[in-house]
Amino acid sequence: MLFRRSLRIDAGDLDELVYGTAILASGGGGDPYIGQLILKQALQKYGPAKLLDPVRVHDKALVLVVGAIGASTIFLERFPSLDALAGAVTEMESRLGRKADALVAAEAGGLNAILPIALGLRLGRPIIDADGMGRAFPEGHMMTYGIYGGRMAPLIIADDKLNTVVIEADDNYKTEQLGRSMVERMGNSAMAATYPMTGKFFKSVAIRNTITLSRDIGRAALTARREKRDPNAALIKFFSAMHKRPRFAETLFTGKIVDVLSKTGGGFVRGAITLENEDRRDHCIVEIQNENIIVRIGQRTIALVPDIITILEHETAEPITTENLQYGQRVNVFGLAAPELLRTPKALKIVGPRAFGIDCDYQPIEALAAA
Amino acid sequence: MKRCSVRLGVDVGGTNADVAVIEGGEVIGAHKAQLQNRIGAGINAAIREALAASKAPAEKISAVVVGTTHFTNAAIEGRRLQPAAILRICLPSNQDLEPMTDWPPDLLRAVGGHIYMVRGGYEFDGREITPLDENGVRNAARDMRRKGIINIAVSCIFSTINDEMENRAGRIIADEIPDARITLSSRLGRFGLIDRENAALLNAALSSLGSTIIETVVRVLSELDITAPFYLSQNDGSLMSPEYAARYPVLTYASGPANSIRGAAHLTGLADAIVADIGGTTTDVGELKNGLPRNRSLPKRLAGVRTNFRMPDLVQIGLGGGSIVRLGADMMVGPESVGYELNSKALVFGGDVLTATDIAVAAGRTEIGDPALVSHLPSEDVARADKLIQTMIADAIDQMKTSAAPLPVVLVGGGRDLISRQLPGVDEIYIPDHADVANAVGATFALVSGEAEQHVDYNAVKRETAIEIVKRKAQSEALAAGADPATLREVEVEETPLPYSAGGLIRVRVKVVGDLLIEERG
Repeated sequence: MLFRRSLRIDAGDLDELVYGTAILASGGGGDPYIGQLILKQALQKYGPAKLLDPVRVHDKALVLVVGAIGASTIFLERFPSLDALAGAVTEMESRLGRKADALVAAEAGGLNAILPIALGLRLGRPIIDADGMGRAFPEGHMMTYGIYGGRMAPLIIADDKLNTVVIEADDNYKTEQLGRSMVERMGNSAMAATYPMTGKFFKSVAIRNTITLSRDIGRAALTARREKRDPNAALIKFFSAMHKRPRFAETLFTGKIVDVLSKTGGGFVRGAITLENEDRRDHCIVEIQNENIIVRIGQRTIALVPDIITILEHETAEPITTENLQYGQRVNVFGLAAPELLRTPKALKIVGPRAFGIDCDYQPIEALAAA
Repeated sequence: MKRCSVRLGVDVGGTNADVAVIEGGEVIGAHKAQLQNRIGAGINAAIREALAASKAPAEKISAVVVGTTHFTNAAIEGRRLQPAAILRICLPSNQDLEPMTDWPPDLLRAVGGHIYMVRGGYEFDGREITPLDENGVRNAARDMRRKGIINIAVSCIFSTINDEMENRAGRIIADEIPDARITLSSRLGRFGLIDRENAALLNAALSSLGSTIIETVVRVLSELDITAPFYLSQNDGSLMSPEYAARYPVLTYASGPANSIRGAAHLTGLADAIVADIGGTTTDVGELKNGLPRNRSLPKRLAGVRTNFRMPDLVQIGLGGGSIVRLGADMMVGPESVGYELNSKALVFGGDVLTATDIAVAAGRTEIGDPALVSHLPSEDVARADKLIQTMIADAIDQMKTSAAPLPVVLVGGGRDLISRQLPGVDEIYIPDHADVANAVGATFALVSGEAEQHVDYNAVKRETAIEIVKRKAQSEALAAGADPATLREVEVEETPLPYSAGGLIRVRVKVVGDLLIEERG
């Protein structure tokens, strides 16, 4: 049977889309609620969104990456601003002397997966069905656009008062660092446009079709939930039955959270949760640095960043972001293979375990499961 | 001998009014009365009976504490909301997400989409983003006046950190609309603007109930010649003055479970325990931590609207004394219940409905009604149903536990006899005297609380200093609410790191509590 992916997103897809972005966020990306409501309001105002399939992006097109930058919980009070995001795009365009032909998301997980769609509706610009992480990561230089040679500069940062800052630095990591300190001055809530690139380069490095992937993930799980089937099983079945290339997905552990430890260090939230299963024989530890980055059961490592690790509420398979993890929750630890573009030696240097201070080499989740 | 201070605790739920008379920490009289649609008369009767049992004269009473979920809960369940307006102080921020975007259509229709947004708001550290547009507030108020709206909610970005703009806007609105009932979001909710604003709007739409509640209590007390001051207990188990309750009636809608947990603490002397309040239709399980109910930190939907009230973290299951039991292959207990008709419909009372109470009697756990009326039930069915009931409770208790460490369990409420004294995973079970009126006892011992929060960079300010600053703010809140300064103590220090923030940004929240400052009488 010929499978045709619908590129339309309307109000009826919202819950499914948001669910999927939370699965791909690996625990990060913040509470998706605000992003969901902003997109809901935009869909009410402008009608359904039609995404652009990445294969249809012209080689010579100018593509820009857009998204929110700041502390995810601050956005729950001072919301991401589409005005500021539009302002950042306009500033970039005036510097480049050219209008952007299409906009694309930085991440597939959380707020930044959803916000560009609302911006596209607002500006009447195409939003490409793709992103630069296939999940959520904490920093801008961790996008495939940068990993595979693209420049994060200029980075345009604007806040909702339309204060605008342009950063040009010699490497992407420096750009990220300078940007982050600016965002702090802007109240930890700002919008950004960056990675100006050609359509040709974009197509060679982007992680494709991740917006529609999120919606389809959500459709599989939420349909199962509605029909009183097990949504956890539906999720795993969905990934193993993916029509192009199945992705390894597995429930790594089922248990109750018996300890939550968090502290900030090195600018980002570090923490760990400990889970215990029914017979209390096994302990599972999930370490967190904004996202869930490593899973251990006893002495054995069973999943490592950049593979996706998402904590799901046991019965409903509802994803729980790191800041909402609590003592006593009954959860499943869900593991999903990262996109191949994050598993190359080049990518692992920037988004592999050592980049997060974990002293071990990356091993794919499917290899760890088989061991 | 001079009598100690006598206090009266009253808990008005959906079907019952429970009253406890307390002298020097001891329960000297208690009564439970059915309301049967006559609220005032029901409360009056319950107080009279309890006082008669205690032999305490009305003039010895030094304070009355009333917990009443009755009024607001019924209005919320019945979707009886009045038109209300929201003024959000936020521009130029937050334009892309208007108030009430996520409201269910029926509630939105009832309240009306009266939305106003003006310039102003705070950064996470309490500095101004933009000054408050006072003219904008005045114009909005005039427009509300033209539309005849008097129920008004005010919200502001980071008003939990700094409430000054909300206060100022409230004064301007009161100046323009003298009979306005104004709800400030910072008085109700926590971090998270949408959830806090929703809480404020629900309160505004229910605010006419404030005076109804107060008038009812005042009338009943004057009928009984009780002249002592009275207070109301709120959702998180702390006290508020009648003036405050009149403005913020929504704070009463879920005060029952917190009162039960506090009552369990007082009756057992425990500071840490799991408390299960087994009623007629449902069981609420909560955790007593450091003498107070442990509060929930995640948002909760109320009538379909996401809110973040300060209230206990609870697991509620559809199991109570009146739960209807179905035997056989597809055995079920609850969630349907005969409710307050237990005394006529249950088998042991000569009725024709098999209830959880009948199972408890047949299983020999308790002796109420006529055991002969359930002797025909097959013993293996009774054993299976009884086992299911114990499993349901044990699961709910386990869900509430926040660590693997053993915690005692306190059973309170009218349906406590359903439960075995040996639950799996539980070492110790307490069933104190007066367990059936634990909620009224808890109301009597409710504390006055104060809470404050602030964002702090631990790289810039020392942790101890930061906590001390926030604590002082919380203390002044508690004193303003009527706490006895000599009894103030810190009960919660919550430090939440902010993901994806540069530096070591932490949200520090401190809660302090104290006893109510009451003049002794007699």
